[in-house]
Amino acid sequence: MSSTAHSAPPSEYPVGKIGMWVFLGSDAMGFATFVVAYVVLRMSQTQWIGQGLPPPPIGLTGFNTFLLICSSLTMVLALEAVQKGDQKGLVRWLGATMAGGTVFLLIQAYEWSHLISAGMTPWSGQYGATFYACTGYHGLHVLAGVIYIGCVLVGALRGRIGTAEASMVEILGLYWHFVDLVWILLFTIIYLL
Amino acid sequence: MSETPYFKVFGALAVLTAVELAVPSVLGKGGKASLAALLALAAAKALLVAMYFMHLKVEGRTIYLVVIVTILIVAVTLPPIAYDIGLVYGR
Repeated sequence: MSSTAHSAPPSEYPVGKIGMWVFLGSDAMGFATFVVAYVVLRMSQTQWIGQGLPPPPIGLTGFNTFLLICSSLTMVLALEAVQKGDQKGLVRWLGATMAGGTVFLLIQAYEWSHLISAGMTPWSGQYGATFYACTGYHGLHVLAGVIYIGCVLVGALRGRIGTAEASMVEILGLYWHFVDLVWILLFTIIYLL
Repeated sequence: MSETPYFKVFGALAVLTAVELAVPSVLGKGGKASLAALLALAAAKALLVAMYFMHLKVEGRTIYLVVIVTILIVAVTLPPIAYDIGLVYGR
């Protein structure tokens, strides 16, 4: 057998990038199921927010949405930095993205504690259950993203991520932007409608 | 790639978010006009993120194939799930 028989066919994309898109596709189905459950249950109720329960806070979460959009900007700036070979820029923008994700989680934790102390728990009927399921599932994705960014950031700090490894940052960015995109939709459906 | 499109997209996303926050008080919460406006704004923002930040605008067929297959699977499988949820838990 010739040595070329085992060589991979030339590809337009890094395998990891296609893999991330396939993962995002399957993950989108998970989010879609949560959102559909929320919408169907909400439409089946005459009164969605139970008596005495607080509505989701729009102002604070609006700020959180803006924060996530800011972190998407810093993520593309990190990609641009690594593509240009700007190691300091990569570390700076990745750090800023990680900080944005962390603050998002802290604000969400504050929001949850505020709602729980006001009597709204995951057991407060379908309103509470779907609210915490949707925002919690998304929050877990943000947490995973912050850890993922942290891992790449450590590599960048050790000088192991240069122009040749730019696809690693691009793949990380795909995940992070997806998390942002999903939140844009969740914010509208759960908080604003 | 220049940084400029990213900042323009970011500016557009920030403005659209501000408009979103103003919609319920301007058009009234729960109305059809408010619903249509908010869904359109969310779709526009999601499209901006996908096209520019996720670079779908410049991607080739392979990535589009993954995205289109996902949308088709969601379109086919979600209606029965929605029906089931409504049947079991809806009132």
